Amino acid sequence: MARAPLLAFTGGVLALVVAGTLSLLVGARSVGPETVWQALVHFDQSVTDHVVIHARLERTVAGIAVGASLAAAGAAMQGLTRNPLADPGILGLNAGAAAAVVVGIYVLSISRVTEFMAFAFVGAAIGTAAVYAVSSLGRDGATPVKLALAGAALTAGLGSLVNALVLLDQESLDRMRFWQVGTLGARSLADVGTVGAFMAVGMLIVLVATRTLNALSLGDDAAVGLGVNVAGARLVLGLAIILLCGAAVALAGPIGFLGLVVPHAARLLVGGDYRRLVPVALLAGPVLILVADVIGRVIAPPAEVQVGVMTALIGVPVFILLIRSRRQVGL
Amino acid sequence: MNRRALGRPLLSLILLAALVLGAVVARVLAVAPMVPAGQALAVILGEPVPGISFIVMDDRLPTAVVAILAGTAFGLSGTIFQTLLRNPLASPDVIGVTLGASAGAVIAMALFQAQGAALFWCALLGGLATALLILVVAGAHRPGAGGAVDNRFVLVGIGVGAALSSLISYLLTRIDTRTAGDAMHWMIGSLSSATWGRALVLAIALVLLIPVLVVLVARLRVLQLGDDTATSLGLAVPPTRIGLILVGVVLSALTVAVTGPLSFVAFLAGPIARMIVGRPSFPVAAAVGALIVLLADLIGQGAFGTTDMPAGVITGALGAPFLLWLLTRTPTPASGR
Amino acid sequence: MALIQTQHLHLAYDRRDIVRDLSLALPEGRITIVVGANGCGKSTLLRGMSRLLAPRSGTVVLDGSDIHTLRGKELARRLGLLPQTPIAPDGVSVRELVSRGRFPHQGLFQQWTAADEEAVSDALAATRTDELAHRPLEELSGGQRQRVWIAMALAQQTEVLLLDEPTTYLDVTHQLEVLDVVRDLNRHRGTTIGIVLHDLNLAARYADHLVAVRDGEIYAEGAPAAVITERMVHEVFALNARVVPDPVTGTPMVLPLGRDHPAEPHPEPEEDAMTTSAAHASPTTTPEQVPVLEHSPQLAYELTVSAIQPLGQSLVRLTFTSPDLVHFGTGGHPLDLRIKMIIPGPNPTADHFAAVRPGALLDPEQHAQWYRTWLQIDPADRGWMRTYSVRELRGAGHPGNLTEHPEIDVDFVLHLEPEETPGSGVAARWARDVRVGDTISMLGPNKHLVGPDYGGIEFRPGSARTVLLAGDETALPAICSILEALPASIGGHAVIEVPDATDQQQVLTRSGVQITWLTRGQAPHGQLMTAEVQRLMGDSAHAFRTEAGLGTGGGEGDRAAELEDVDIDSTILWETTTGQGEFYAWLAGEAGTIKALRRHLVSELGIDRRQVSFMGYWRQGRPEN
Repeated sequence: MARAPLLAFTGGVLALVVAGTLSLLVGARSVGPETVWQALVHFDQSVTDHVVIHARLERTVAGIAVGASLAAAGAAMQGLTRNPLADPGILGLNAGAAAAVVVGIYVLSISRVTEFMAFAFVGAAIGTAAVYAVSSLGRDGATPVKLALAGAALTAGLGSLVNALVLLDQESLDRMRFWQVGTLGARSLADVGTVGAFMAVGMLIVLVATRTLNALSLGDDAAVGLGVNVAGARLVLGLAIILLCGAAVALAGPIGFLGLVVPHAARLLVGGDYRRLVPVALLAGPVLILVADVIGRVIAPPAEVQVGVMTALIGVPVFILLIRSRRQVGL
Repeated sequence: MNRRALGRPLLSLILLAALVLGAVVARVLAVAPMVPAGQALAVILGEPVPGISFIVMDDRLPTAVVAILAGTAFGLSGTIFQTLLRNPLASPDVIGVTLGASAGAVIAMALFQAQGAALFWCALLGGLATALLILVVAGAHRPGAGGAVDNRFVLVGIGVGAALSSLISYLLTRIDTRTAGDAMHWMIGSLSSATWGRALVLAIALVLLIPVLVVLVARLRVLQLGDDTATSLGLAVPPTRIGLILVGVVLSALTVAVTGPLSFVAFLAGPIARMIVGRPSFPVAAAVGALIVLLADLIGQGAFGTTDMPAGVITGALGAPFLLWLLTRTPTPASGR
Repeated sequence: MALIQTQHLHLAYDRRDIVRDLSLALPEGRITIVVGANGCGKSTLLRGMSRLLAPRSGTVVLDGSDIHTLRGKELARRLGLLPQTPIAPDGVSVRELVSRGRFPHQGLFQQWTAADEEAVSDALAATRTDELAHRPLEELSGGQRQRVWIAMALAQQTEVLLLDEPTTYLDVTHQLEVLDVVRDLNRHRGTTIGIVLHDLNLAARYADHLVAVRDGEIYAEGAPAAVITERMVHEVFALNARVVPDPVTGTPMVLPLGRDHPAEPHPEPEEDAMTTSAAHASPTTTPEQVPVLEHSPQLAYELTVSAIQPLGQSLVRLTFTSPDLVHFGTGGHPLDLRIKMIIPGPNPTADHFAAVRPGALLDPEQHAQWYRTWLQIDPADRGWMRTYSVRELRGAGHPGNLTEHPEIDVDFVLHLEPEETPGSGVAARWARDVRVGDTISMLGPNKHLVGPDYGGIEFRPGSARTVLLAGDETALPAICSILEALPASIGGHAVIEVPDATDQQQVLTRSGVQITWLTRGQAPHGQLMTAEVQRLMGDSAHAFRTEAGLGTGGGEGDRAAELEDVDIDSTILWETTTGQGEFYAWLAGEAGTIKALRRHLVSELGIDRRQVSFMGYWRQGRPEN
């Protein structure tokens, strides 16, 4: 057993290197490995291939950042809510962030990534709080079904709000529809750097809190018995989740299902101990998002299928499999 | 069943009917340009009045009728799902059926530049196909212990819905701005495409489905006790569940195909009806649904001056806060013994 | 009443086998409780029996038909199931919930009839939830809520009711409350009940028939006292425990030992493979003293007279009550339940039945001897033992009861002979002089140990559809009791000779048996009865003989050899048979008369002796023990 996590970890690093390389190599315009190397070492703005590679590098870096963030956020959410179906998309967090960003686009004509991020943070926080508060009402607390329903209801409600705003303004409609689908290609390295700081803080919190997540997975009462300050842990982890999701949404738009699928894949590989699960998820997230992005680039040439669509295409079957494999989805 | 509880729904129904009638009158007469009551009455009685005839007979009256029928269908459909799935949040908006219809419509617009009747059929097809997919994947044809089947149905619906909305987002980036605007407009839902023909389709569907629903509601009351108890009471559980879902799906998919997904109508009609009469009631929910749609349309036509807001914007904007208020007010016991 | 049974039932979830080749019949009109460790398949068994789970193989049969061939509502009108965690709709009121139990009785367009209304009201009353009828279910306590669910199942008005862990999540008060409701239901309506329960001690208290399940197979079944043994607890629950009599009810009580109190070296299980054998149900090899309730098929009950009702010149009906009577009865509804009354002697010195009182412990070695020991005591001290039929047994809480305990009715004959010889007419004199509040000892069956084949039941018609019942006033209570219990499918004649016309009773019988009352007046005892039986049998005896397929090949010699000459003065005249053919005769009363009648039927009319049961209850001019 001791070797399995190490193996998974090494495998993850290798997979990430492969996925990153693929992400640089594959695309509508075929570029040889040598040119790629050249572009990385001696970047020359006048060479078209180099510009293409630079763009690919940007989206690869963005993909790594977004994938790792969403995977960490998903793992933290699943541990915090003890809910195998927790995911930023399902639980309405993305909807909150997206709605806030759309309001920002419409009302304040925002376009810079820092502005996007600020709005996304606020929206994600409000969305999370609303969904959790709503589903915690009632005798049996926040059950998977209630969380999912509250998230879906919030998504539906905010969706109609977004639609109404967009309808009033052609320009925001155009910006919104491209942003809403979730894509990696729209941001510069500088943007990634700006957002990356927040992501790093979020990931650090989740990594430090893996023991707490292990305790929380036994239930609140048991966690208190183990000496965990449950309310405090909730608050700090909730903050980390909002940082991670808000930053990811700001960078790439709402990308669903990644946060759901990756922690489960990691759980299959190394078991439910969050001390091993989170590091593996941090590697698997970027791998998955890069692979999805690469497939999206080649699946319908000459156009690209955005990564948000690809993750949904991969994620939904996994989601349904998860539901079907459980005899009783804890009511 | 004491007399008071029996009397209340009846009284509420009469009151709601009066309100609906009032809203219809307001919709026909009081929206700019105003129509004098006498002329409107004359037109309705068959006398042609230049300028007024068209406004009343071909625009406002069919709109009001479609509003009533759509609201009724949404109210019934929402109450079916909420009661069957034992969850006030489980409306067709949430569990993917509406999104299926939307996806059907957007696909038709994006790929075939469909309009009018073709759009209607594609939306209907999309809604039904999605519901069928959810039913099969969730395994609703088998009975299950506790609320297992219902929960699976909800969760699979949400998953499928999320995939569909992702698909819609993708399609919206593949088409020109104008079509995208049309699609967005369609997805908000409005009564602007209301015609007598559409009203007739909805009316026929309601006339056919309401008797089926009456028979099924008696069974729904037993099914609410859970699959085990219902089976031991002699109910054929899977056919009943599938029957109820199909009625709910056809009602909502058909209505979405006519009006677009007027969000929150199906969601709110049931809980509001329950607040009025103290327990779930299908007729009251239908009346509440009709009233919501009529009022939303009326507000959209009247409240924003010259800009006509689609009814879907109004239901969405007013529905979301109302939903939150409703949720904080009443505990949501999804289960319980 | 209805019979439900599984035949070689095999149940599985996906690929996991839960119940294997299990055959089980729930005794009609009794409470059967299924116990077993977690995951042994007991709840799955209940799901299989109620069609919630389709069997891999084998069948579940309700009154002869496979439940999977019945239509949903048809089955639901006969078999009800209350799942472990039923789901209540939001905000439903008690009455509304209970009324949903009427679903199987309603048509396509839900017509609410007066019968529905009555069924719901009855169900609410029976579970004592009628005053809660308009309250919302959420407001009720766990015990009240469970009673409401039972009321819903009651409104279904089924002959069989299955309950899956009805006491889960309830505190001990409510557990008893719920099980009491279930037992009342069984006692008053005769509903056949099957319960899955995890609490062994509660199961022992409430079960008529206990089934222990291990690994999807029946480990043991039978009366609770026979099933609950230390060995069973060890092998089924993997628990070392002591089994002692429950000080309240006398039923077995399991006291887990745990680690700190290791058991005495326990006999290792001898068999690896489990066989569903009754061998396991035999009492344990226990220390010196065992509870009487677990060992003795007969118990001595201390009864108090609670009512006296003269029935005629020669008969008086005494109603007896006792808390001990909760242990009295047999596993099934007997046609004729025989008991022994101990008519007290003039100078009693001690309780000679202390060893067989329900709460007592006894030494199994000496137990066999107690009757012989008793016989050697002077009758003036020990009293006299006389046999009677129980006319009616009413459980505790029966509306006809005068006390809170179970009650029985017994009819006594007032045969008052002018001169009082010792030992003669003691019972009649006792019955003449008895007052309400007097006590008497009775020997009767221990319901925890005896089944329907209990030896005290003498009327066993077997396959016979035509019966002859004949007897004098001493047999009158037994004949009346039999007639009241006989099913409609049986016909024939009953001839009853009584001393006086006032002794004739109103007998309600569903059967086609015609009753002939003979008033003796001044005629010699038994003369009129003998003549009437001879007249009745004269025409039809040949028919019975040929239908039974007897009396053709064997010849007269065989039959004569079979019919030994019984000396009625030295032997107790007693031969009960289980009917073989179409005809069954049952003769009881004065020994001389009965012997003569039997000779007439067997020797002169050529009826197979196995078709004739005869009992000499008493001998004219001769005292009994």
